[in-house]
Amino acid sequence: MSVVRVAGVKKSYLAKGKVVTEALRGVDLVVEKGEFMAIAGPSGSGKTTLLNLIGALDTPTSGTVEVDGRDLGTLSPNEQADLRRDRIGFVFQAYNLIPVLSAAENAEYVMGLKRVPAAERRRRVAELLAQVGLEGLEEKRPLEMSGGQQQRVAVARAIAAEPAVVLADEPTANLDQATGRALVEMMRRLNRDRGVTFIFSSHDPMVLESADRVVRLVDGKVASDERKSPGEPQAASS
Amino acid sequence: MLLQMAWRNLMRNRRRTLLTLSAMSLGVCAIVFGHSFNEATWSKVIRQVTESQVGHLQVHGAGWQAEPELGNVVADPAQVEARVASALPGARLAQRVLGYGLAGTEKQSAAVVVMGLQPEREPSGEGPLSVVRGRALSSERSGEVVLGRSLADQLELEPGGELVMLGQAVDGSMANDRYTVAGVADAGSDELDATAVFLNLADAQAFFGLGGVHQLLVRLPTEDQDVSAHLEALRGALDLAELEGLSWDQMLPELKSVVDQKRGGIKGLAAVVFLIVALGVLNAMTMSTFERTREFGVMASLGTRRGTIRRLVVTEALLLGVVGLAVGVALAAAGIGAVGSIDMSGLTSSGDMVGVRIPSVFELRLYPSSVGQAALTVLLTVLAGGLWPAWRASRLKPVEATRSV
Repeated sequence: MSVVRVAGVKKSYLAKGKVVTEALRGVDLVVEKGEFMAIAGPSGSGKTTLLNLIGALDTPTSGTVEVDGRDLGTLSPNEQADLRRDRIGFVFQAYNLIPVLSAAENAEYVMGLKRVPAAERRRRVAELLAQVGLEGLEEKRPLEMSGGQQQRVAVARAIAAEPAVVLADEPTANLDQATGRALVEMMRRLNRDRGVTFIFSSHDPMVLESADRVVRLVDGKVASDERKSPGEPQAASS
Repeated sequence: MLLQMAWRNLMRNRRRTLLTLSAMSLGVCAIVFGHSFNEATWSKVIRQVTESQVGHLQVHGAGWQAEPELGNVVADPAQVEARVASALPGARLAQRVLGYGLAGTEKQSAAVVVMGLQPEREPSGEGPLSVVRGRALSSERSGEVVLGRSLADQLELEPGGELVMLGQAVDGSMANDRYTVAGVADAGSDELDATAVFLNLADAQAFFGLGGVHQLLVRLPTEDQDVSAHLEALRGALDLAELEGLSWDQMLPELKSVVDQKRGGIKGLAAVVFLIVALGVLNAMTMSTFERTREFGVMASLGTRRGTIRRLVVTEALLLGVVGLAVGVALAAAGIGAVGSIDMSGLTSSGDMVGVRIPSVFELRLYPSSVGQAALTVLLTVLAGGLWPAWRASRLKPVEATRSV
């Protein structure tokens, strides 16, 4: 069952009515439920643009993007916000936690938007923070945590509301090698244990080796789409 | 969580929040103090006028207020009183007769206002009963008068002296009589002090040959200056073909106009404070939301609706307003408590304004209407200062906002 379906998507950036950048030049992509997939490619290849379009953060110049069977082009801004809240989790390169909220409050933020009862939110967050190795840091504010810890909170926030897909844009880019590896292992574990679909962009070889599938973008087009065979070793697997 | 986030966002930049709060609190304090001072002044003036001079409401013969003819009387005041008392329970009633004449002694004479009243039904110690020398009028027919202070000086009369009054009776004949001066009163206004001769109602009726009264004063058991509802009730009880019912502000339109003007001045002060503080709030909220552009982008990315982002920013502005209002009112209350009363006698000659004695000492107190006006000003201020930043924050495009540094 496909979670994401991208068909003939182009994205151009305009300045003064003229096309200055063609970020995507016709991308087709189908992501099945439970995949652990990486989008690779050099800087400027369109990785982030593609993730933004899948995440309903931006709109394509042409083509269609469907998430969970819903065509994003037909949704109003509030419907797009509801879709992001209910079906999509985000992990940003720069963590992007809300600074006035504690680790636990950040993790439960999306559940709060979904009006999940407070007791249920607390229960799920406690379990998740323990699972991402942040037990005892629940009350810490983002500025009191290391980059790796913040990114773990961001992952917990992304999956807490049980989305259909988690989009992670260069999740290890700001982390050292060991912390980045630990984060990828954690995401892999969540993918296996909870069946969460992950799509992340990266050009970090360690991250790419851990993915089941690597889609390479070059100049805004899919240059290759490789799936690993089940027995193939994964550098960052647990 | 919204309220918690709003409060924590305000606490992120404590110095800016404190500065904005200080401006707002001082503004509120100025509005509350100014409004309280104004209310203390004018409520005292109006209380004085309604107690000693005109009452809250009056009943006359139809058209008497516009053309006070001697023969236009309330012919059966006892019957009208019964109706009024039934329509306005708790009201204190008093009858008066009002005419003009010439008062004189062997040496001096003066044109006077002749006021017949029921001393036992007038507030003791006020106006005609505020006797500075001699004694007050008797409640029985006595052939005695009380003079306004300046008039007594002009006629060179003291208690015990004799006064002759001339006038025209209601039937057109000459009215004249001789009276003993019982006392000299501080009549309540410079005009009355200089012209008023007070008599017992029965003495005045006898002097003018009248069967009824000119005024039936109604003093209400209320501190409220707006007596329009009571006036309606009064009119409902009257035969309006023969009688008229008026309120103090209709009988003293100049005073009402001055009071409205002074209140308008306070509203002007509130408007200036509003403008200054609103610009401060707008600046603080705009800076705060610009600094958090990326954060709003993240919130939108996570599925926060535009309305929720707007509510967050507006809640921050409202929190500023609530705290600013509370601190400002507390400051004003402390100031009012510390000042207590203001004695203006050293600053102004406590003269009259539009025929009304302006008191020189005012007891300040915190009026609910002062707090209400400050609260309304603060609400408008924070909405004026907070809505645009809230709208801007909610319209940010997530993909662009999350790239903001």
